[in-house]
Amino acid sequence: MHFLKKKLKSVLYLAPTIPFFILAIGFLILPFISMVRSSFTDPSSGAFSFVNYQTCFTKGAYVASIKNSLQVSCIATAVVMVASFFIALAVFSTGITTKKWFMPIMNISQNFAGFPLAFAFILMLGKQGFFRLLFNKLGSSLLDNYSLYSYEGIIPLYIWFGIPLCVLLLLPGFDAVHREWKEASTLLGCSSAGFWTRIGIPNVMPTILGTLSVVFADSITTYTTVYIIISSNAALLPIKIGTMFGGDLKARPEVGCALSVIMIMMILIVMVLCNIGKRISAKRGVSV
Amino acid sequence: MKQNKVGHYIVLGVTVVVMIVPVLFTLIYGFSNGWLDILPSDFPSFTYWKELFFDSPLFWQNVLRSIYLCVIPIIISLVCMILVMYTIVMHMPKLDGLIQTISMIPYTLRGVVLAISVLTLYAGKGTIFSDRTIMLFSVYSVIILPFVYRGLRNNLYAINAKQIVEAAELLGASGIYTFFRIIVPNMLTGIAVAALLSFGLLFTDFPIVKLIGGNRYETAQTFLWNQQRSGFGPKTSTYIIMVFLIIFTIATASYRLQHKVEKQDAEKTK
Repeated sequence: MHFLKKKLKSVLYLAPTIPFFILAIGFLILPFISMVRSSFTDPSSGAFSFVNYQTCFTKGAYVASIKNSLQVSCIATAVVMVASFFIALAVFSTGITTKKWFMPIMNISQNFAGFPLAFAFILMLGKQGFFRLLFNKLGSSLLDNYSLYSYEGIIPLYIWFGIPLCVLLLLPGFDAVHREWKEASTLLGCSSAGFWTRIGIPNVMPTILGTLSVVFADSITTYTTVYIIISSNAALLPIKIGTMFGGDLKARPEVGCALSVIMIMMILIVMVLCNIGKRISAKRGVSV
Repeated sequence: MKQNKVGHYIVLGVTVVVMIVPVLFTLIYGFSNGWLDILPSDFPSFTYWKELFFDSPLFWQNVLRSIYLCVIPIIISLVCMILVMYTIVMHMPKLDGLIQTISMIPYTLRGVVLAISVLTLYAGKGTIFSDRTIMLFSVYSVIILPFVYRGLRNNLYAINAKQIVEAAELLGASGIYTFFRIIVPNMLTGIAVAALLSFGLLFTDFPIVKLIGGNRYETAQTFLWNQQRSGFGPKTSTYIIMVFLIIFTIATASYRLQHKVEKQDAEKTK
């Protein structure tokens, strides 16, 4: 009897969480499971098969979108990480007043993503963009080989919206670097570069790796900006996935599911690698 | 040492210029009548701004619809999370781990993927979840869970909910009374931060509304999409700046609020 009462009580306690679980299970967990299942389902027979994955890795358009997405995101992430590191380093080194005027600017650019960004880039670098006109007038051929509407051409956009996010995430990591260490190392005859390569960066490493996985996930899932600039035919994962479900002629949900799983796997692999890296850097005894 | 700082300021200066230039171009374009030469024509002109404010009812309707489509999911998500927090604080602290894990999933399962997985499961099945509006609201409520969870959770820590509950119990207040009359009012800043961050995310959403709704829902973002597709002109620029201003105001407000909360925390720990 006592046991039953206790059980009843814990059920009662859980009652307020019901709406949350309906939402989470109904619109997060079940859809995810069904997506994974559907990615392993043969569209014609309904049986379990790898045929969708086979399609993804053999058919030109899908292979291209996987390749393009990986290429664009990797290059963008690499550039963003390096640039943001130096920017965050500059903010950290110049002190608190910099933070006060610099952060609002990051806030502006962070919120300028999506449509506004695409529009602005078309305005500046599009077919009749300002810089193209300017360079033509100046007789420079610098932009002649550059096209905003190509997969290499949109990388600057990825970099542009990646930087504010990355700087915002990196800055707290720099707080782990105590200014006294810098002074101490200088007294001991260490150069500034030496300090950062041997003491500074190893200490910021966990934050850098954590940020890297977020920036990568953010760029590989970018939809709106690309959708406008390259159009809905873009061979990039998020766009391809979207068209597999849209009202377009070639709606192939199973293949779309397989592509989604591939994209999630990429995000997870980067995340896991970053976590392993974090562990290794922590083991080396540099975490604070 | 000094030379080093010069290098840092150069880095900062270049960053600021690069980050601000696209915004400036869009702004200047909005105040012109076209930009086919090096200099924009008729700058500054207010023609399109006048049109935006006095002759674009469709735009403002879409903005309002966007706000409506954002606010309802935010309320749903907040209510669900507050109820969960009630159980966590009052009875089952151990539940927190599970809730956190679930709430962080949308970080990996981003917009496009979540939208299509919900579509595969429910679309055209004739259940209550197959209704597009319910689908959209639910996906929106789920996609903001990370913000909602973080916002409420941090605030709950900051106000030391556990001690408050114990004190109130000693004074004879019931659990429900304590939670809803003392804890929740104290969490208002956390709720506001969560709501503002979520609003920023949902208001700028395009993929989810496009994939789930097709062309059913006309939001501020789909309006911008249609504008950019139909023609490229200074008018679009004014719409973009306006939408950006709305988002920017919200972002600034949430940034300020967060700082306020952090300051309060710092004072409390002192």
